[in-house]
Amino acid sequence: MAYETIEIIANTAARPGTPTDGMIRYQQDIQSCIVYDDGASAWKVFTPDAAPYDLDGTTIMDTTPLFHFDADKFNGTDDTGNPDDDATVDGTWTSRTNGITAAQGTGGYQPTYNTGGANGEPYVTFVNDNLDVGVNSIIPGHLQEFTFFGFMNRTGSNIMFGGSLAVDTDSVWNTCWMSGTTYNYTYYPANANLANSHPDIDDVPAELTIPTGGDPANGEQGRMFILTRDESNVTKMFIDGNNRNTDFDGDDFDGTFFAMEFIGAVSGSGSQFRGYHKLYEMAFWNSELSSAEKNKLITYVNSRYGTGRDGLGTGTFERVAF
Amino acid sequence: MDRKRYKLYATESGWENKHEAVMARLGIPDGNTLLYAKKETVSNSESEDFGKFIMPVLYYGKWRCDDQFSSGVVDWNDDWYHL
Repeated sequence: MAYETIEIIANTAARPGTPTDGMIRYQQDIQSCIVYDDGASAWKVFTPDAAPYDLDGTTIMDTTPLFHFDADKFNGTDDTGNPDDDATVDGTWTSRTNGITAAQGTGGYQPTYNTGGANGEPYVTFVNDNLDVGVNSIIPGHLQEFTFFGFMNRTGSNIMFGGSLAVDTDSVWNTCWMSGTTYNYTYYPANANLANSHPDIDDVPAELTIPTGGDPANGEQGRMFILTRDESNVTKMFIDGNNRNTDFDGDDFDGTFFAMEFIGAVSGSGSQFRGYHKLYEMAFWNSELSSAEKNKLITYVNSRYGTGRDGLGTGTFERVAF
Repeated sequence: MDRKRYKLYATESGWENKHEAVMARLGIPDGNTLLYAKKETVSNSESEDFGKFIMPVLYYGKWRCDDQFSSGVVDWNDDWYHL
């Protein structure tokens, strides 16, 4: 059996088209070696018990997200496929994991790619725009725990939609949004005619609000969002490392699959459901991350995006005990 | 200047005729881009523009087409929809 040189292969689609028996490759997106079995005409994937995920060469998460859209790795692998500054996003944004893609086929709602954002990092600008991922794309069998992570900020006083997670085709989680003066998240449960269910943030910290008639600059600060849901359906929203919602006891998911449906919108069916914001990255885990793991995200975000994301734009994220 | 503004059309045919003209002007379909806009209407019955058809007007990027709209372009109005 001949073992060829191990190479970095970006994703499933990049596997050799004419493999030979016993060919071994390292598949970067799943962080596993794959071996071709000519008898079965299939690649054999050996998944480790733990699937660590390298965020930036320094921060290693214990588990790999089901998707991770990173504006600095637009092709899902590196920065060689990044669009030019101020370019219309008429192509495909590929997740760093699982080969999931997002695109918009209607020109009037395609976002713009920009460079030189927070700490020089690139981002995608949505102006009543959104990207479609599709309800049939991901996360089969997932119906309960999750962790959503995103770094983004809205623009002006317009509404911001982080994205929508679909349960089947008739109910959605709106991952995080900002309307008026406060941030929140929403669960539209199935079998309830899309009546929304979401907690109120009773104690909204001043740095997370925009005073009526005031300068929207506070709202335009880049924010780190972590939204978790545990096995008992309790959801918490962390903004800049601080827990802003606790013990919101949501409903069971009553469906057969769970998927990321839209980026930048809660629905693709109307302009009222598309957002105005700058999105740097977003990721989704099929589990509730531990406190240690959430603190890793804080470390990572502080390192990557630098200072200037607190309410006054002068400090780093507060490290808190989750 | 806003990067995106809008023009409202009272009739569906008016919207469709303009959309067809804009598509031709921009060379759409092109690659992954199949349409310029989707047909959306003002859904808030309390709005004076209820039922009108909304056309986005882009002032930037690959699909810039503000030169195709000589008048009647307005800013987004939150009253067009109830969330």
